Amino acid sequence: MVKRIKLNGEEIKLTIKDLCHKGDFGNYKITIEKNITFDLDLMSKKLQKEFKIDKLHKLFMIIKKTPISISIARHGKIMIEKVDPDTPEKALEIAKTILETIPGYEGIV
Amino acid sequence: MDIEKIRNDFKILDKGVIYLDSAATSLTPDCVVNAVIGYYNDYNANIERGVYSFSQEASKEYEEAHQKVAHFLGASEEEIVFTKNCTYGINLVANALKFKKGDNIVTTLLEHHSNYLPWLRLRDRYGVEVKRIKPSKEGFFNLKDFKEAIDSNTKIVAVTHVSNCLGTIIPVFEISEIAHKNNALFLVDGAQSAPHFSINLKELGCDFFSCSGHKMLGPTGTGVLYIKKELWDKIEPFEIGGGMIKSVDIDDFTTADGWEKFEAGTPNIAGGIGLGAAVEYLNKIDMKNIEEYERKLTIKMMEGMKKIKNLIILGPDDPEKRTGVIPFKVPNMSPHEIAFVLDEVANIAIRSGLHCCHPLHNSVLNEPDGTARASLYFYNSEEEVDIFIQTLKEVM
Ligand SMILES: Cc1ncc(COP(=O)(O)O)c(C=O)c1O
Repeated sequence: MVKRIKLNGEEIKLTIKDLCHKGDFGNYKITIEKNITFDLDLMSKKLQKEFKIDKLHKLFMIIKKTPISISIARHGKIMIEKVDPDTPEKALEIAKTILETIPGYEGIV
Repeated sequence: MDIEKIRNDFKILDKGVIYLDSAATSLTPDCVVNAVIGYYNDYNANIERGVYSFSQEASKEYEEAHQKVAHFLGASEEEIVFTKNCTYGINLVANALKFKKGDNIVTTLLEHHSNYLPWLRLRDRYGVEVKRIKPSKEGFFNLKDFKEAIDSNTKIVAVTHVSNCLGTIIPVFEISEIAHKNNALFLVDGAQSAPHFSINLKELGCDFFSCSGHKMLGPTGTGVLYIKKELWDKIEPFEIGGGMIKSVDIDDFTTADGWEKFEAGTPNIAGGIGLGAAVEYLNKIDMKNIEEYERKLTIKMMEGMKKIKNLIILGPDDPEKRTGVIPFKVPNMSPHEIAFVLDEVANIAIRSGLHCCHPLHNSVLNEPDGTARASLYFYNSEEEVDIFIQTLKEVM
């Protein structure tokens, strides 16, 4: 699935791609199709109320809220595991919480 | 083997990727890319049809590609059918054989879905029984289980040569003897063997051997199906039309002999020619050298991984009994998380998940989320293995 988001007034492609999984839950990778660098420290601060910060590395972060696990890479990639129901729409809904922590994010177009 | 020189043949490696997913598809050397471009730029035409020189040239190159692959696998040219992938070859066989109620098919729980689902569908279509032999957690079989399962009603036995999940090498010759003693046909899924060690189909004891061209340096959309000469008359192509006939009249037709019978319509000409260039390249390096080098790399990688606390390697411990397919798990990180993080931190490409082997992961390994899987090929370097180990330590 390809969507568009608005970031600092600019429309950017967002791809949502399903990954190998067994059937009960879905796993999805969401990529912002533009060179972007996340401030992981800032994001972790904003997300820590809702998620357990499992790993915080300079290049990636893994956060959890049972059963969901979200990996965020500094270069604009987000992976969400155990999406239920297994649909890209649900993955996008979960991803919104992450996207909202990006300075300049104005929403899905 | 001069690894630096070999690595220079793969332009994509300039991008700095550490590619450890060759079990899914291999990288493509310049000679293969050039062979494909050469077809399009120099003599683009359909094969076996035209009198003009481009068509003659294309036909010659495409036929020669069959010869090269035949030589590479120890078969004769007519026995080598070009397919679009390994899956297609297995489906071709499953759909070409005639089954009746009471027949049975013997396969295993180690199989890739491509060598599993085509047989299950025959069960649903014709009411044949599908017997499934269970491997150990390392992917080994007890030959006694095959002896018990295969009987005079067994039509075909279909087994993988190397597990794409565990790397285990299966002694297919021994299984072929049991199959043939019972007059059953024997199919080998060679997707993970043909790229990594020397194969002689005359000695392997199989009737059918299907493998992927794209896992052995060929272009995507290429595969190979070996059909033993003695069986040509017994199996019907499930696709018919142009390019595969000897004669046609208003009511009837007779099929061509050899591979042409099974390649209806315009084939992937450029891909086939590219595959010919791929096996020529592999032959030049020599499969014995490739096998030896990959074993050395596999040992290095396994030794490095074993030193990482809490990391678990699946599959055989003995490097003589496996290829460079190395599945592993680490505590508190899912297989996808490991793959995601390795990509981000060091541009390392590995596979994660169930590797198209759900029955194995659910019924044998008890790993419902699958594994992370690094898979090596001869263009990987020792330095890449060091970086992989180092990065794993850093991110765990
Ligand atoms: C053992 C095995 N069999 C079959 C296949 C399917 O190959 P292809 O994608 O070429 O159809 C694979 C692919 O990974 C495999 O590893």
